Amino acid sequence: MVPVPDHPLVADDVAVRFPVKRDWHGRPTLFAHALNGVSLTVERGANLGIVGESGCGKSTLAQVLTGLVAPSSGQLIRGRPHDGTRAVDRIGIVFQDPHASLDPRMRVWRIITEPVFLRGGALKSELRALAMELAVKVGLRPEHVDRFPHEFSGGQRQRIAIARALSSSPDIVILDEPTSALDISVQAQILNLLLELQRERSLTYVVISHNVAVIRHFCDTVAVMYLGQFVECGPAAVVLSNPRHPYTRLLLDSVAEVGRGAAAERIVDASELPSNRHLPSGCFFRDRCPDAAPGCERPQHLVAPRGDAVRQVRCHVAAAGP
Amino acid sequence: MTGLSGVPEGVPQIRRGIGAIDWHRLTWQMRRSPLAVVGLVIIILVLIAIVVVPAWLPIDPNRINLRARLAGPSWVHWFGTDEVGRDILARVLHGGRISVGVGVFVVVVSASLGTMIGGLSGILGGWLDTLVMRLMDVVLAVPSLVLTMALAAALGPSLWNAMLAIALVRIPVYVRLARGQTLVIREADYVKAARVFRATPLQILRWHVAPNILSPILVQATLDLGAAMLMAAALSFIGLGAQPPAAEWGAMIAAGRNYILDQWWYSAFPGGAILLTAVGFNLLGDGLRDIIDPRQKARS
Amino acid sequence: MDPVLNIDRLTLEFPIYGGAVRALDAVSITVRPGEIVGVVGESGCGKSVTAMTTLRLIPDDRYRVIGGSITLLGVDMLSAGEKALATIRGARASMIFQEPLTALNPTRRVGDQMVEVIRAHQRISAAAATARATRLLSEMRIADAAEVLRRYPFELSGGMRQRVVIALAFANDPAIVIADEPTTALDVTVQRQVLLLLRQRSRDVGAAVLLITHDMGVVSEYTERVYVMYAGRVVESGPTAAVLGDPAHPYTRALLAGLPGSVAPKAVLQSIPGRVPDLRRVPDGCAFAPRCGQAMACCRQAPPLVAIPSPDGPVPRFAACWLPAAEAAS
Repeated sequence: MVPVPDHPLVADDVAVRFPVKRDWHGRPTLFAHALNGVSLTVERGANLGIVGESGCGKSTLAQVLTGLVAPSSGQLIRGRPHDGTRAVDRIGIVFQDPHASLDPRMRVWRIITEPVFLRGGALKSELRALAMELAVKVGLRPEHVDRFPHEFSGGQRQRIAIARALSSSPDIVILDEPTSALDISVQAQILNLLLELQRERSLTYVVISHNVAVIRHFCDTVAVMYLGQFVECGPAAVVLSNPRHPYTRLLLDSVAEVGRGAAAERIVDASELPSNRHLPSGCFFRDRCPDAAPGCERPQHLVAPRGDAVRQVRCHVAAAGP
Repeated sequence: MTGLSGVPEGVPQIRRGIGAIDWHRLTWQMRRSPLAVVGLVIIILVLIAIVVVPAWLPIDPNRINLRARLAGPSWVHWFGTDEVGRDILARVLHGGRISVGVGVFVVVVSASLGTMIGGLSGILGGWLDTLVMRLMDVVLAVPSLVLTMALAAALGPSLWNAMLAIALVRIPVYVRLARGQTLVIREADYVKAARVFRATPLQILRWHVAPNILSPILVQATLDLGAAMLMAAALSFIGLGAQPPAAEWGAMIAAGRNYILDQWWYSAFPGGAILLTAVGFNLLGDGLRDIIDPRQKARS
Repeated sequence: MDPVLNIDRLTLEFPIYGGAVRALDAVSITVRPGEIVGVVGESGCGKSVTAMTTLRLIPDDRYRVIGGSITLLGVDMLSAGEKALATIRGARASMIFQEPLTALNPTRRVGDQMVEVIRAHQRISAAAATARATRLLSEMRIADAAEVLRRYPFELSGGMRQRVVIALAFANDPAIVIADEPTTALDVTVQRQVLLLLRQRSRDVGAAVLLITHDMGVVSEYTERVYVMYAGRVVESGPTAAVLGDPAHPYTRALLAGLPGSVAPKAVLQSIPGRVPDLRRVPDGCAFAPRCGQAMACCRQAPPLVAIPSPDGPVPRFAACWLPAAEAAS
């Protein structure tokens, strides 16, 4: 048990594995190892970005942080709110696809106020008033709350999803790929809205995304995930501009960005993410790593590289210095 | 983006929304599905014929007229008469109330019970789900007509018992449908969101699953109306359903089968009525499915 | 040299309930041999419809051509019969979709499918076709090609499947490959592999590529020329570096300014006010005018396609906007 001063959310060495095959007794014989020892602390007011590719476990981490999935080992510690409300009410979530995350058969005011409604005890008139207030806050019109989700565009629906996440007055909002399903111009609107709401309501965001540009824009700290582990974490400005771990470098090199000109001819890496059914021994990235060296066959730990105290890398080569 | 159905981006998709039926859109959709319109027209005509027409039809379906026994179709008796001279047209129209009524009753009972069981089973999962589903498998493993006959016979021959038997045997269809749909919706992001906000399984069932599985259940129910009616007619035909002298299509066919070679009209008109109504319900159900879930059409 | 694909002022509508969606409005796109051309825009801008109609992949009863023409490899695609379409599709012109699973039959082995496609257009033996399939896969940097040929599509990862699909697209030496969001479903590291291989293959065999995407980064790094689409119209076109480096149309400018990398972290991003017009009722004149900060009175009339002088070469640049026209006049 780690001491919890006032962090709203702490994960301590969390591992999650899902049974994928069972014997005839129903006992699991094969596991998918989705998270393999993730520790993180959400600091009040400092946005945490979690970046990685599909299959790296970032969605599972989101589900652990919201309580949808229980850790197989390790623990999740939620800070106790000062005003006596339940700790679980202090987390909101916004999903990637606003077409899937809103119930098509519910009116908008019901969607927005669902967290409050589920808590019980609120009158319909109160819920409607709350929904209208939040709708205006996220840039919709009050009369919109009587409509159904399909009457809105993708960006407007994401606004509805954000309003829903806010309705229980959370401390932390988990943003699971909040803009990946949106067009560029809408993405800008949503990012602006989220940052504005943060200033207004002292929120903390945990942003889970594969989009490095969004994380860079949005987050104070960043953790890069690979095969269920953090391979590099630290201040976003440092990690994303000057990556030390070879996987972070590969990731940042692969991102297509405007202004870099034509992509270099060299195929950086033709290998693929190993399966999480049977975890590799030693460093998980060893087989794909251009810098693989003796010592990589041992399990790697997150350590601060020499002369670089602000970040941690899970690579003994990178930790030994440039 | 463009899906496989070839509907390009930017084209408003057909919305599913019982809560928000757009009647104009629905009629527009109906026009593109002519068979559904045919089905709807048949059903409306049948309903008018059996509900409205008998009220001012001058002929009593049970009035015996031994002088006009087994008379062929004529201007007096359009559909002819039976062996005791009762007017077959009047009996077909009155019998329709029973036959269609049975269909509606059976479908309402089996659909609502089955949906509740299936929804609960799907949302709660675990051993309860396993138990329910194995039970349904057992029921489905026995040919439905045989099982219905056995049940109806065990309960004793009466129309009421026949309806119960048919309803019970049709429940598994809805259990499976509702459970399958529930399992899909259970994984939807909006349900995940509700779970993050600490919704209980029953709350999820009530507020998210139920409204969303309504339309497939409705389609299935429409398709089943015809089948339930046929089943009721079959039971009546073998004497386990409506009892004489009640006019019921199946019972009428059964009574007419002794005369089928010489007095074809006796069985043919109630038979035709069953056929027409069943076809009507099936066409309407198929059409509704296309309208509510266009993807299914693309798949088949 | 004659262009491989010439879409000339194509206007297309989809009849829907209560009217028609004008999906394409006088769209002109030219692809010359061996060129990699991007079409970029937000969802609903018509980029996918363009790709689909080019190969006539949308069922005929779903759309109405109002005007214009598509000439693909000298064939008038809008009037071509089924037979002509069958020869052109899959052989001289091929298509890559976003989701590789839709292009592969899940119940058949990869090898069988590739051999079938090859033999549908080439008179060669099954063994020769298998050899060709193996070579196509190894050209896509698939290490154990023979092994992959024996697999079913579901046994392959997403990136591997898309490489198979690209190999398939190049099976019959196409003159043009139309790729509709080929890497949107893939991770960034895999996206890079796939796009580099696509670019390399097209250069090797001299095939042109029409790359449809919503990703400005992909356009920037992998295309030579680009068309920017908005509300069913081409608003700007020209060499990629010039268009993205110095956009002439306010919409292109706004799109680029809205990218998160364009301002300091947590600063307010420039966003485009309002929303994409309803394609059932596109405003007269410039479709972007209601959202445009620089709209003028003349924007109520349809803007001409103005040639933009570009210092860095002979490739012409155009923008459908009154602003550059006004600048040129003054």
